[in-house]
Amino acid sequence: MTLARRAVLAATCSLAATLVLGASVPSRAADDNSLDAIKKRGTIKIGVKYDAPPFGSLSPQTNQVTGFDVDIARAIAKKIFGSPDKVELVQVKSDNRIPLVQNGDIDAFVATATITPARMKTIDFSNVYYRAGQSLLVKKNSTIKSYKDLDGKGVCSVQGSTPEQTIRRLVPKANVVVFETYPECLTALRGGRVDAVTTDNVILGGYEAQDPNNLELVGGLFTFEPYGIGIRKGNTSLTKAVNDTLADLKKSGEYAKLHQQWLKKPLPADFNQWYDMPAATAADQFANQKPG
Amino acid sequence: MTDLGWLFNRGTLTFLAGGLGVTLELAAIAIAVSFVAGIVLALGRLSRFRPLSVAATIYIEGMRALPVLLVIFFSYFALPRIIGVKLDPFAAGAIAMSAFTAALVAEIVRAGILAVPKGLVEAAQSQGLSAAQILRIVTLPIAVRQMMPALVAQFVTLLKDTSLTAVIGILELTRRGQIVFAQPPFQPIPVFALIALVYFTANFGLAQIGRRLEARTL
Amino acid sequence: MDWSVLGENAGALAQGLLITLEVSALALLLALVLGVIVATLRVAPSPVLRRIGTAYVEFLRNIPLLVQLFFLFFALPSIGIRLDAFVCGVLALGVYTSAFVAEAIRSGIAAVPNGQLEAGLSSGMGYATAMRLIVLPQAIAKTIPPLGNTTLNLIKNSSLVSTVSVLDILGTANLLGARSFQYVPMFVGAAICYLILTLPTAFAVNLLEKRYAR
Repeated sequence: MTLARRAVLAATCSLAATLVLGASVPSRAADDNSLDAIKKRGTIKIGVKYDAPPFGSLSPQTNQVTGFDVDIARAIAKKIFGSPDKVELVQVKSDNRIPLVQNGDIDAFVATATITPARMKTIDFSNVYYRAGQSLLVKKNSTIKSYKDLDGKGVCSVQGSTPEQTIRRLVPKANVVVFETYPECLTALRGGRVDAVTTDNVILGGYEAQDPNNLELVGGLFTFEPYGIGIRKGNTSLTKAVNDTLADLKKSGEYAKLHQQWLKKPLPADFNQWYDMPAATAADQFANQKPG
Repeated sequence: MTDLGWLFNRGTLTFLAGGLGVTLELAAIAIAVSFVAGIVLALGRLSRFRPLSVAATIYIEGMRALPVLLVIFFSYFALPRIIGVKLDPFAAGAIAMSAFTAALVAEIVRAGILAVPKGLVEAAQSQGLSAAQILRIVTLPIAVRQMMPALVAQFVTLLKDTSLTAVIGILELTRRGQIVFAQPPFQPIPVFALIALVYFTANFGLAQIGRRLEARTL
Repeated sequence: MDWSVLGENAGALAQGLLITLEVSALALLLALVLGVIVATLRVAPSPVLRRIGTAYVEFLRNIPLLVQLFFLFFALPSIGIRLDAFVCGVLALGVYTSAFVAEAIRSGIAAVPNGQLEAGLSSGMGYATAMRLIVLPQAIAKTIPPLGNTTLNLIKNSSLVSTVSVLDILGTANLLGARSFQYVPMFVGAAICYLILTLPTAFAVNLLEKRYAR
């Protein structure tokens, strides 16, 4: 019976933990995240993802976090302190990055976050530093070159996701197959059960990189997902420093180098249309976009 | 195809073993909770207090008439909307497996209790044994002996059914297998052979333990 | 919660119910045919045949149906065998269930006194003929209640085909739930559909149990 009791206890505890963690984190006496305070402290605390290659990932071999987002974070530290090593990297996830910035636990995050009007209500964003968007992954030599070729074809996405809904709206005649996660979609694509997999180019790029001889991204980006750096609401001094960093990265050619290094591609043709776009404009475009 | 180093290396095997751990953890929680809840439900159904027995009967028969996969999906997608609490996949899976198995265990327990001959209980009463003594010395030992094979079969089914929680993203054995063969060199068949073997061993082992228990109680 | 979504999608759910019925009926047919063959193996005079029958039953019973279904759906294409999702569902469900059918029939056969088979054999019948004419008919009467339960489980297990993109009852509910974000009404609708199938089956099983289990 002790096993039973322990199990009930475990179930109760996990339920309680979910309750506590699920509730919104109460705002606590504000830490100072202004540029002056950061300079006085001597390091800047920036949240990055540890599980989203090539943007931010922890290597089990070296125990180092590296990636595109990480190098942007280091560039911010270099701008403020003159040294890229004055950054303290903090692991964040999609569901905790905003509360962490709101509470002042971190000064900013560079963590594959799309600028949306809803998020703009709770935090500030830097100008756009990367543009992601929905794309297609197909087998090499596929006849599918754009989402317009998907009529009557099988296309896979994850159930209930935004990409699933977008592709249904864009191509009503496509045979949309949904699974619970992307690995099933990839297996279905390899097995010829579907002709394409669709979601953000960032995720698809990772799968393409695993198997570049057999898979390729096609169709460009047909949605607009502007990535921004998250900063606490009203922290204008830090926002300005970050935006200055982004402008410098473009001017010095450093951004193009990072793009080539991590994303294995030269700057896209539409680079100048979105890079450095103010967050408010980006959020607006995101909300009012007509995919295609 | 002949070189299986990509599968039989420490990292991958640790990853899969972790999945087996989750499978067993989920099964253990569900067995424990459903065993207790099943006894409560069975006693409820046998109760002379009518509302209680009706409620227990509806729960048991309703659950038994539904696919466990529906219960899992319901627990994961719909239950949070009803109770207003976000459930992580593991909690949702544990709740679903426990709630479902409890109904089946309840029927096994009820059958076990009903199988105890009335005459034995009456004889014990005539010997002046108290109700608690009768339950402990007469009813339960006979009921448990009666229940054991069905109970073990039910837990084998439960262990197999935990694989269904893969579809709500719990990283148990089946899900982790899916992840492994979605990576280079993309060969599903050896992965399936391995996880099938693991399930077979676990279930066959559980069934053997059941058979031994059965032999001992008889 | 918006229950109108249930009314709007009643047609789709009914379509799903038909698919569930189709999958279940075809799988049951397959399970009965295979089950009878395997049960005959399990009581065959040859130890080799018996062992083959036992291995078949134990292998299928102890590996989750989902793993078997995923094997057909996800793994077979890697060696060039690409069966339709519906076919994968019927095959996996039918073959898995055949192990349980075989067990039910075997225990039914075991309940037929040995003398009956011997009498048939001594009157000049071959083993197969004696089985077919004497033992199996009696055994089947004894196996009807457990077979009823197996059928019930088969209908419930058919919901697994939704995981390989077949739009049965559960697949339809899941899809429409995800699209409308109205999971509660859609799953309640799915539950009603399953009850429509399983409750009468369960009722019939109970009746048969009472009639055959004196």
